Amino acid sequence: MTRSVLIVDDEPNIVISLEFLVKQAGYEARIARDGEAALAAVAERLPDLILLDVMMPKRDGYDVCQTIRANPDWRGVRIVMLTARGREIDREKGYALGVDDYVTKPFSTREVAELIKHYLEP
Amino acid sequence: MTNRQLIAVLCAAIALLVYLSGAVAVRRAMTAAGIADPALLADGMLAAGAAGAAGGLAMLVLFLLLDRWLLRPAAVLGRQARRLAQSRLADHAIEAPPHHRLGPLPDATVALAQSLREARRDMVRAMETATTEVARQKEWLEAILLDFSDGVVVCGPNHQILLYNPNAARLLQSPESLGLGRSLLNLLTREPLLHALERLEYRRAEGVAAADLVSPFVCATVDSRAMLHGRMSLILGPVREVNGYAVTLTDIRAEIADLTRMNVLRRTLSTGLRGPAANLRAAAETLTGFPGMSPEQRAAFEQVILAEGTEIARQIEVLSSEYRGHELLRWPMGDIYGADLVNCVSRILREDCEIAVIAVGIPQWLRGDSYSLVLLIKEVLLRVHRATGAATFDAETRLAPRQAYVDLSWAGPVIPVGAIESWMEDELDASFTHLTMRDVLDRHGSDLWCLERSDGRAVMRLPLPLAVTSEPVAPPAPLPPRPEFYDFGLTDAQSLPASLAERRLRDLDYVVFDTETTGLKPSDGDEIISLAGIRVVNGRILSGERFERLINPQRKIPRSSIRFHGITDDMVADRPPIEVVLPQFKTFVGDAVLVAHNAAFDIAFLKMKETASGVAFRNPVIDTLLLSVLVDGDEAAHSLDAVLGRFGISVPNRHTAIGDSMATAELFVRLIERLESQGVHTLAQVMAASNMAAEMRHAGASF
Repeated sequence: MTRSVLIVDDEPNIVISLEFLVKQAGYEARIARDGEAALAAVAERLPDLILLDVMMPKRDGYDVCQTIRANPDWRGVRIVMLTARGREIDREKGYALGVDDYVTKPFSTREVAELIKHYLEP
Repeated sequence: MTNRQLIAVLCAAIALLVYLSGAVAVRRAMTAAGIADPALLADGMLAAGAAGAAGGLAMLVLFLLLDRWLLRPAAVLGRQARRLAQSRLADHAIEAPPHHRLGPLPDATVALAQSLREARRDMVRAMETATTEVARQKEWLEAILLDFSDGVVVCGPNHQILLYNPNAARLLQSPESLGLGRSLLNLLTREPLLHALERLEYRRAEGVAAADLVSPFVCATVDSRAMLHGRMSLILGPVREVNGYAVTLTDIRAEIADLTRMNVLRRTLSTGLRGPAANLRAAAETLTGFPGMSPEQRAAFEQVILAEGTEIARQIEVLSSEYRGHELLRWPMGDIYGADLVNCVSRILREDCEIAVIAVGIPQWLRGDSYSLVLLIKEVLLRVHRATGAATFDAETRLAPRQAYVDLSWAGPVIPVGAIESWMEDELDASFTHLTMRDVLDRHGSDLWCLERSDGRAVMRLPLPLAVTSEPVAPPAPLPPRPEFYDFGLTDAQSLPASLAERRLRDLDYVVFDTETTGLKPSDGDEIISLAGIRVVNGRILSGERFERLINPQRKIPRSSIRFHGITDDMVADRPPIEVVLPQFKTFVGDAVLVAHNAAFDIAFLKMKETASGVAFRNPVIDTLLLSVLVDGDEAAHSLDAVLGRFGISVPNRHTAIGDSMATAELFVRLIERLESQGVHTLAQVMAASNMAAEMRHAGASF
């Protein structure tokens, strides 16, 4: 079965690149435009990896991450936070709330492609 | 009625009385003699009348004499003396009356008046000198303060202004109310000022040296025209009583203006980024919109994308490195002792809302703006209380690698990020700036989140910058450890009360304590000079519940011992003797289990004083040195320094009784965790194992 990646970001211009990257790597790409849509997508079908933005309308990325981590049924999902918030404290908060990785924008597409591969290939 | 008039009336009355009684006596005598002839009777009465008149005349003469020699001179003297007495500044001589029969009294009065006049002149001269001296000192002070670029205001205990310099007047912009004797609280926002004062008074009571009693704060003028950074220092009297305080004030409007400029810069830069971003986007869109373009054209567009992408990334790097350095410049901050912060919040919440905040763990030094942090923490706890119903919180300050944490924990559900986010824009106490929670967090470059801890409690974590100057950077040269002491009676599990023996270690109440002494031999006259203890309950160090006393050993402290404890004869001169302190310590300890590192040493000193102080400690005793042997084996080093190093425990004020008690408490809590993982759970098990370790070590040492 094809492994699936949920891309959560409200900026289409970054989603388009991420989607391209994910598909290029041979995985299924699903898109959510805000925090609530992300949780709905997770509830509908659990992805293997979530690429999660922080600053989004409705529920923000931290909120989404904490909610996912609070649900034991969703334990297996990996979360990579991709965000423009570059302070050390934001990174620490991300890890404290349960992200697997924290990448600050602007990232290199190669780095993200490698991360995706790292988390999805055993 | 004056004395003279009284005596005049009296003389007249006596003359009348003599005449009447004479007349009556004559009449009776004549009647008794059988004389009834009215003519004879009339003669008799006439004779009596003449005698009466003579008597009256005599009395008149008597009065005139009295008046001239006694009454008149006395009145003259009295009048002059009263004039002298009635005014404190009167300075005139008393003249003795020319004729009198008052004996030495007038001359003595004249001499007395002369002495009084001289004394008064001396006093006036002394007052003038003192006034001149005070005026001169004040001129000096004013001259010194004049040179200060900061505003300086000195206040008495009730905030009344005693002294200020022109720069203070300029900063406060309120010459009409900046009068001497007016209250500073009418000029500056009171809450930050009172908060700074309260912190300082608390630290004074804790025994902090006068030179360290300085507290920074940020306030505004009451009319909000100026934002000021203040530094308050206490003015202490001879017995450390608070006589007032001095405040230096700097205008930080310029810094705040810088901050605004920074924001403009940031905005310009990020707006500037939109240009390259637009180029990038246009190029990319063209590229995708016209797939049939020639390879040359396509390469040009690709070049644009590459260049703009790189340029944006570079600008962001520049921006963020510029910005990073300014994070902490934003707001004037001072070093804060974690215990002060927690105590302050605890007191406010206890008084206002009946929420209990218990200080746990070993307080650490943080850096921040104390007043706004107190507002923030108070507000967070109130909101957690409203959201979860929790009314008791543990508050702990902890060290992390590059920062410190304020951890607030409670038994109850975790607060989700979204809920915390929704608090952020609400105003805290709107006393002088309309601070929001977000403002305070940004000011400290911080954020706030909530997690579930491994013990099931929810914990709200507030990371803060580390203090800059709290601890000496270079650790002092290591001191040789105390030799190990053994007392097998202490670890005798048989003597444990059954009620304690099978209790789980984690559930017991402990007092972890330490002593500093004049030397190593209690039986050779060495004495305790410092005794401290701290309570550990349910595996939590209650840093608010501590005992800390310096003790007068009633002997000289050997110089050789001072390098171990830093306590000098002067420091204990006015402290109570051990006989007073031990019963207090006994009350503090109660039924708790005693814990110390190398406990037999400290216990030996306590035992020496059983008779003198009338208190004996029969509590079970746990030795962390022996626990460390149990956990890490006999080969490792087990001095307190070595064990703390191994556990990575770092505590302020090491080598004081309270510092070492705290360090030992932290160590003890960690040792309990290790012991439990090795299957040691009850007090009886610990005692039995400790006893074995002690015997092994003792035997090893004698080889």
